[in-house]
Amino acid sequence: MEETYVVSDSSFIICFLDDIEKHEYLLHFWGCGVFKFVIGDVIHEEIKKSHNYSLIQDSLNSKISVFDYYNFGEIVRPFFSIDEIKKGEHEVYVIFYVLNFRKEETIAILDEIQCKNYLKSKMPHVSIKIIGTIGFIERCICKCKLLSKTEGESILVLIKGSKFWIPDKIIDQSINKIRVC
Amino acid sequence: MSSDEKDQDIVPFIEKYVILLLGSMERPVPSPVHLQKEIFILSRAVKKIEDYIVFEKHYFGPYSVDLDNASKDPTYYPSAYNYTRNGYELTDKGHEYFFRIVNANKDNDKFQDFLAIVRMVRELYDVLSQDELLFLVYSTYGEDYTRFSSVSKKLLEPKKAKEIAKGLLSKGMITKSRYEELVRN
Repeated sequence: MEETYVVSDSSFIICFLDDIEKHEYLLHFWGCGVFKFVIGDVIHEEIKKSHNYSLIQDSLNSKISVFDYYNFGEIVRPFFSIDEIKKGEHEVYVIFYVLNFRKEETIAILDEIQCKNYLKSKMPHVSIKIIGTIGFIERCICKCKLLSKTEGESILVLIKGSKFWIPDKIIDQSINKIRVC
Repeated sequence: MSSDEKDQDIVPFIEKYVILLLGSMERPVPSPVHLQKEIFILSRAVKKIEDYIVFEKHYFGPYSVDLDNASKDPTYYPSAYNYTRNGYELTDKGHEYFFRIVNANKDNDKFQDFLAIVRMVRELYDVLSQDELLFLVYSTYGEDYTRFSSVSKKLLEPKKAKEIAKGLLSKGMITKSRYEELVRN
């Protein structure tokens, strides 16, 4: 089966690395052969700031493609705020666009709701492939079978108790969803 | 290197960028301002472009005299494009050049990604009015390019800025956070 590209923002990686301190799941996603993870330069720099970065550094360097040969985010910089640019949300948009242009099967992970909705409005034909961290976990459980339901639920419970910003209601809905999928 | 020798080196590259920009979509680039700013935006993403095109402060923000010359009268790709009341567009000959360049690079992944971002620039910036385009360029790149601009003061004046930012938000061109930032400034 062909690998699906995944363009993620920094919050997805920071969620596992710092917020719930379960970096082993990142290594699992990166090495499972189902996904091909891609990040941009700004997001890479953001992740490097984590005090736990050394835990994933080797794996990130060998398993993740860093699209840094162009400053992709610059293409859309005028449309995003300074904070959004610092977090690299704009980079996800451009890299996702480029991979779709290449006709690659691609998912974008964006947790910031404004940016996610913005991207969906700009690329409505692939809006179903623009998800958040919680949506990605659901996919790993229900579609790809990369995580068991028990594992998935325990991750969601950890996220609920962490500083990762996502309403409890969304997590509860997700737990109910994975129980019946 | 003499000025003439330098010109001989850079002109074909500049014309090639213009051809790629125009050929990436089946519609004209609306105006000379759009052409200048779209290639300026590309040069921010693709540093190699800066080896050939230098953007300077100008009345209408970042501007390249070499690009302006190349856009009026292509010499290395003769009759490749022209400017009509619809904007800049490739001629039949220009389309031939475009496909020749694309075919010559069909196995080059980075070139394919370059084509993707060129198209993205066209999709996003062609649809902006001249005021919207200049307003976003001034607001984003600030002092670097507004110093000698005759229109920047007018467009960045709070009432006008709010009006343009509101229009951009309602068209879905900018995020809510960006809108708030533009209005706050």
